[in-house]
Amino acid sequence: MNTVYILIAIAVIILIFIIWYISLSNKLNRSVIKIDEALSGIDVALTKRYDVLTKMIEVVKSYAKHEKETLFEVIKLRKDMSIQERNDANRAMDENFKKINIVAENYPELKSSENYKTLQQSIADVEEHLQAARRLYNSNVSLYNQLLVSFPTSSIAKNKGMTKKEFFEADEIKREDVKIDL
Amino acid sequence: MSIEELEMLRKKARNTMLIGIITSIVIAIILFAISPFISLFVIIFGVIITIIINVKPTRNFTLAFKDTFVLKTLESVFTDLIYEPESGLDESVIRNTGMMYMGDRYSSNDYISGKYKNINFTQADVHIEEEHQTTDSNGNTTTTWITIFKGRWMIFDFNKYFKANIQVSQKGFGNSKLNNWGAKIKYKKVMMEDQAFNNIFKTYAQNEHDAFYILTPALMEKIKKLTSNISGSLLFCFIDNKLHIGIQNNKDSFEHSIFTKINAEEVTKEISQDIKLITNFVDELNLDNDLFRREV
Repeated sequence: MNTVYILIAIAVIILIFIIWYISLSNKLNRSVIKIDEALSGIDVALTKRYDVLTKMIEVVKSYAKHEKETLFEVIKLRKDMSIQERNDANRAMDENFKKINIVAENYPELKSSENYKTLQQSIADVEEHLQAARRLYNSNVSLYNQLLVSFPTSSIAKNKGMTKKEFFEADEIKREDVKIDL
Repeated sequence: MSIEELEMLRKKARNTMLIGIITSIVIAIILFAISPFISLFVIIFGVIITIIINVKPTRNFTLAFKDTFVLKTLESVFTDLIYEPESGLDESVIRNTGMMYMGDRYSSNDYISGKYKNINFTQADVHIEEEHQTTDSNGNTTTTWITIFKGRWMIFDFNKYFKANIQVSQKGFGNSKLNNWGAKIKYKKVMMEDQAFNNIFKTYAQNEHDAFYILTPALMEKIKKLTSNISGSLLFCFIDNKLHIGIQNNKDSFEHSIFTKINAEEVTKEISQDIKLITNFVDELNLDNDLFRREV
C-alpha cells in the first residue's frame, strides 16, 4: 500500500514539474512572440519614415536643382533584415534628414512651402512612432534577456537553444538639433 | 454685485440655517423632559425643515458668488468661455469612455468649457455614488450611498492622433473599470520601461504600440510630476483623440461656505487655485504643442 502512495507522490511531483516546465517554456515563447510583434512595429515605422524622407528628398531636389553636390544616402529596405541592418538603415535615414535640413536652410521658399511643411510635420510624427516602436521592442528584449540570465528560465532557454537578442539602438530624435518650422 | 450685497446674501442664508437649528435644539431640550424620543424626532425634523427652507437663500448666495467671483476669474483666463454653475457633464460622456465604474447615482455641476492656449477643454465637478442596502435582524432595510468618485472630470483635445484607447490610473484610484465580463473592447496591461512610473500607475491599452506612442518618456515624467503636486488620485483616459482626466479629491470646487466671511483676496486666490488645476494640465503636459496634430 505504501509503495502505491510513494508512486502516486512521485507521479504528482513529476506532473507538477512538467506543468511548471511547460509554463516557463511558454513564458519564454510568449516573450519571443512579443519581440517579433514589436519588431514588425519597427519595420512599419521604418518604412513610413523611408516613404516620407523619399518624398522630402523629391521636394528638396525640385527646389534645389543646383545642389548637385548633396548626395543622399541610398537606402534599401527589405524583408527579414537583421537588427544591425535595421540600425544601419535608420542611421542612413538620419543622415539624409540632416542633409535635407541643411539644403532647406539655404532655400527660404522651400521652407515656407506648404508641401514641405506638411512633410516636416509628417516626419516628426513618423519619428515619434519609430521611437515608440523602438522603446516597445527594447522593453520586450530587456524582459526576454532578463529571463535568459535568471534561473530557472535560463536552463530552459539553454535547452531550447535561445540566445540573447540585440537592442534596436535608434537615437532619440534630438529636436533641438533639428530646426522645424511650422 | 458688490461684496457688501454678496455678504448680505451670505448672512441671510447663514442666519436662516442657524435660527432653524437653534430653534430645533431649544424645542428639543424643552421636550426632553417629556420624552427623549420626541426630542430626538424634533431635532431630526427641525434640521430637515431648516435645510429645505434654506435651499433658496443658499442657492441665491451660491449663484451670486459664482457670478461675482468665479465667472470673472474664468473670463480672465479662458476664451470662448461657457460657465454654467448648475449644469454639469452629461453622465453619458463619462460612461461612454467605458473606463469608469458609474455606480447608481450621478450628479455634476460647475460646467466649464472654453479654450486655453487654443486648446478646447470641458470640465465639471462630478459625484458618483453606489447604493448599498443592509438588512438588520428585524428585517429593516437601510440604504446608504457610498461615494465612488468625487472630484473633477476634465476633457482636453489631445495633440496626437491615436487609434487605440489607453488608460493610466494611479494606484489607489480604485474605481476605474476595464475588461469587465462581456466588454466589447479588450485591454492589455502594459508595462512601460519606466519602473518608477509603473510603481505609481497601472497602464492599460488596446495595443501596446499606441501606449508607447502616447506615453513618451517626457510625458511620463510630467505625469509623475503633476501627480506629486496634486492632492487626490488621478485617472487619465486617452480616447477618441481626447484626454479625459479624473481627479478624485473629494472636493467641490468653486464653492464658498455660507459660514465663512468673504475675503475678496483670499476667495480670488482659492478660485485661481481651482482654475490652475485646469491650466496646469495644458501647461505641464504641453497639450498646446501641435507638432503632431495633423493626421498623417
